Amino acid sequence: MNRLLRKNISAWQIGGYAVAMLVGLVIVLVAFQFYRDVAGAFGADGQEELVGARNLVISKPVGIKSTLTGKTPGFSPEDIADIESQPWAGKVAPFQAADFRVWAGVDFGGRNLSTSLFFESLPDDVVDVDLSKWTFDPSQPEIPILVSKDYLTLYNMGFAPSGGMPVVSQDMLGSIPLTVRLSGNGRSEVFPARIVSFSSWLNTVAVPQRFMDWAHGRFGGDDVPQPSRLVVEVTDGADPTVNDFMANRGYEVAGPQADLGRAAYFLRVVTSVIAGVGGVIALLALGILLLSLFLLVQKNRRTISTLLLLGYSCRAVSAGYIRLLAVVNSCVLVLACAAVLLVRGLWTTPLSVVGLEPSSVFPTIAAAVAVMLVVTAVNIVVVRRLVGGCFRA
Amino acid sequence: MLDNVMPSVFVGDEDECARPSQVWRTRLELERGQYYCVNASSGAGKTSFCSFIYGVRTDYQGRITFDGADIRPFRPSEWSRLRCSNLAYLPQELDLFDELSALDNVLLKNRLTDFRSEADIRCMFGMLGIDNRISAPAGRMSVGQKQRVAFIRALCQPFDFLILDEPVSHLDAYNNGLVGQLAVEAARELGAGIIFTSVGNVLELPSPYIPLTL
Repeated sequence: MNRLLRKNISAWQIGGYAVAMLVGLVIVLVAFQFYRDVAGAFGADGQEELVGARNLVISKPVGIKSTLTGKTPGFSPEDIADIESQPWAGKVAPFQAADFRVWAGVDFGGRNLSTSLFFESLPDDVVDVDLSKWTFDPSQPEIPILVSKDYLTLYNMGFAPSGGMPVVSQDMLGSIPLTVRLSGNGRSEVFPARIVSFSSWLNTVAVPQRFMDWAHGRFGGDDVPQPSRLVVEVTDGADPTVNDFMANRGYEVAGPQADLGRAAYFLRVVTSVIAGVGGVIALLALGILLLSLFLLVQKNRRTISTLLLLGYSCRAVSAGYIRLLAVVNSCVLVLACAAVLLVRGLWTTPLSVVGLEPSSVFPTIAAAVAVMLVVTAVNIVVVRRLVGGCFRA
Repeated sequence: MLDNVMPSVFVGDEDECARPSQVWRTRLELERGQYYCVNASSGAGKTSFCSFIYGVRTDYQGRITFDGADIRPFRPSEWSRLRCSNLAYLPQELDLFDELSALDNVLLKNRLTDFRSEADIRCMFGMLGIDNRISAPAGRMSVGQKQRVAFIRALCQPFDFLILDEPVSHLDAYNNGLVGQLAVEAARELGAGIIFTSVGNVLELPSPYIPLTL
């Protein structure tokens, strides 16, 4: 029976379909894998996720009016509510600035160095620090401090060489005991302090909220100043409407976060376009195959009708064609996966050079298997329908 | 059972057909164990009659039932089952695959039903005088030889009815008799009926049959 049904099968048509489907599938899969690898790579350093949720630090610009009044422009409760009402906004956490004076001192091998400083606090769940170290107990007061990595860099690269001071590592600085003098509200007290963490994205000197609340009560005034900066959790870092919103309201986004969002958006658009082109090629390939199947069944109509007349079932007659398509589709799947792994090698080396781990390839392979299963299912349905169409004379 | 059946193509022309039909627009019950001969001139609907019963066509009015079940809504899978175990058919066009040998054409059916041994099949080729052509491609055989190959193929299954559409139109009287004898033997073994059509050269059965006019 199979010998009869194979008559009129065009190797060129089947081969053309296989090549076109392979090209389309490889483009879609490469775009998918590239997007996952590169998007994941941006998330390798702390908070800066290229896709998915990430935190933005926003502030209002300081203008002449602020300079004249001496007040830092702050966010009113209405401003915060406005941001929270945006569809892309998650949690909004205010920076609380200390309204008392702070001096910090360090003993550098006999040389005593002290400086005027400032403190800000954030809700504990926003700060990327080991929370067991991020506590404060007034009965044994040692203040844990989080410092921006940029400050350390500024000291090591700028201040230390020009001032004849030693450069220090993060670990070394963390082990140096500090003394902090707080004064305000008619009091002045000294506390031990320790740097427990360095942040790549929080551009401040932060202390635990618990400490800030306690210190406000002891050294601060009655009126609580409006927060000057906010940490806004953005549910989709690549959402371009975030940048539009910030620009409209005149808010400043700290650091490279805004560019990151733009880059993420660009990456998403480019990979979507490439995946779209691949998808169109794959759909056209499927179209070619369906047309070829239609022609094949038309050419073999008499053979198929006679087999059905003899008592062969539609299922049995279709089986030969379905087996052929399953083999072709399996080959396309294996070759496409191999091609993706091969092409992926082009960008994994440059990424690993900059210390970034590419993401797993299994979701891409799973996607390829899912696509080819759907394509094969469509093939099976179409073949059975075409063969069934030959049943009546 | 045919209940008030009429080919759609004849609807509207019924007045022109003065002769009363024993098949169309009447109630006709066909029973297992009986032999029926539908003898009529060309264009009277003999092949249509066979095609309706075998489920190849549904362009008729009225109702055809198998043991009380209307056959019109039968699905292809149901027809496949019936064509392997209940209805054997020799179509007028024979429907042999020209590129296959005579034996392969028969084996194509027998593989589906596994009803006869290859030795039995070769024996039937011998009885019908075409054993010397058993390996020849069907496309290179005469119509008479093809008719006998298609007849052997029709016997390669169990059946309740053997439907033969002009089975001996190209056979001489001797081969006609052999075909008739083989058909009756197979039908008797199975307790089955035979329905055969003729446009002039009537199948010669060794047993009495019921003539039906269209």
